[in-house]
Amino acid sequence: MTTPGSSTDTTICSGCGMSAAKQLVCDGCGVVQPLVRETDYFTTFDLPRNLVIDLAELQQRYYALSRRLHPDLLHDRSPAEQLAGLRATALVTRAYRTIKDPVQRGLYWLSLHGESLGRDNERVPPELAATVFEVQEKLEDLRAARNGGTAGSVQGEVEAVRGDLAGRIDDVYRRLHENFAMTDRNTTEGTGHANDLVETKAILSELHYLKTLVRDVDKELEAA
Amino acid sequence: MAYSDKVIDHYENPRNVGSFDKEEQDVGTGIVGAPECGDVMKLQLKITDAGVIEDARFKTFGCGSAIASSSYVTELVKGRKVEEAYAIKNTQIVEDLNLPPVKIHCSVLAEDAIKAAVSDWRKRKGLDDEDQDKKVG
Repeated sequence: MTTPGSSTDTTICSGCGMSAAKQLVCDGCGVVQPLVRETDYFTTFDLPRNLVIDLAELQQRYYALSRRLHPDLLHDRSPAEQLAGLRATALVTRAYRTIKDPVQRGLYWLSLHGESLGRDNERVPPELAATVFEVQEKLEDLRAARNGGTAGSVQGEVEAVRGDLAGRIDDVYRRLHENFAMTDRNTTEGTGHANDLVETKAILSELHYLKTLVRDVDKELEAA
Repeated sequence: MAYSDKVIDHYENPRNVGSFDKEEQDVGTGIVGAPECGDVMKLQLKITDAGVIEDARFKTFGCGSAIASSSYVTELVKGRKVEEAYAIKNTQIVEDLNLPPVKIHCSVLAEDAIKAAVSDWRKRKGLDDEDQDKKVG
């Protein structure tokens, strides 16, 4: 038997010699395959590189892979294969946590395409910047009112603002999922998704901005 | 992190804090934000019919460098022609304030704020904004 890790051809199972292209565990003999560096998180679960994901399916595959890589199951294997098992488990966990969450999945998608939030940012839409400014001013009013011992009415206004922001964040999530579906459609049809990628980044950027703002709002409300 | 004396001075004694009535004809307002850090900056310019910036106000919610950058540009633009102010590059702010690399985005924000304020004023005046920097428009 070949020692996992010594194989140079990564498409052939290091255990039984069957074709096990890009799989973490060979379907034929159950031998854990040495990690292929260029594997992306979608391929880890043998899923297509799509932004719309069937979460139930993903979870099922995650559990199945985790079981096959469990240390108890590999205790009689070679040290090299056990190490490969540990590494694969770490990869599977990281991959699962990343792609099950829409925001993390979107950020990962950006990184796969050489993009990231904060890189060469376009201007924030004026309306969004104005909203953030108004909310920050409202928080400033709350701090001032609290110091004057009259937080009551402003407190209520800030709570209303908090509700508006939550609704707006829900809306941004909806737009994110629409963008994911559009990206997949354009990818499948081969029309290209360069514009979709710009949009993905803009939506994630807005979401990040709003969440940071909500954190500031919550901090002030808790200080009450 | 080591900030320059100039940044600390502008942070501790910010110049021209406040606001003008944004409905005034001779006032241009620019509000710009940085989603990565949550900062938001408002810059207002009071501009004469001859296109000279006679006064400026700012209000910034953000880190010390963002406050210092916006405070600094209010001094920088006063008395200048709008075209000159519009042409100010963030690199000048970085150099003058000696901003550390991680704070360069604060200077970008300040540059954008000037452009947004000038564009707003031009729009109010009914002046053609076509030939301005497209990326900003």
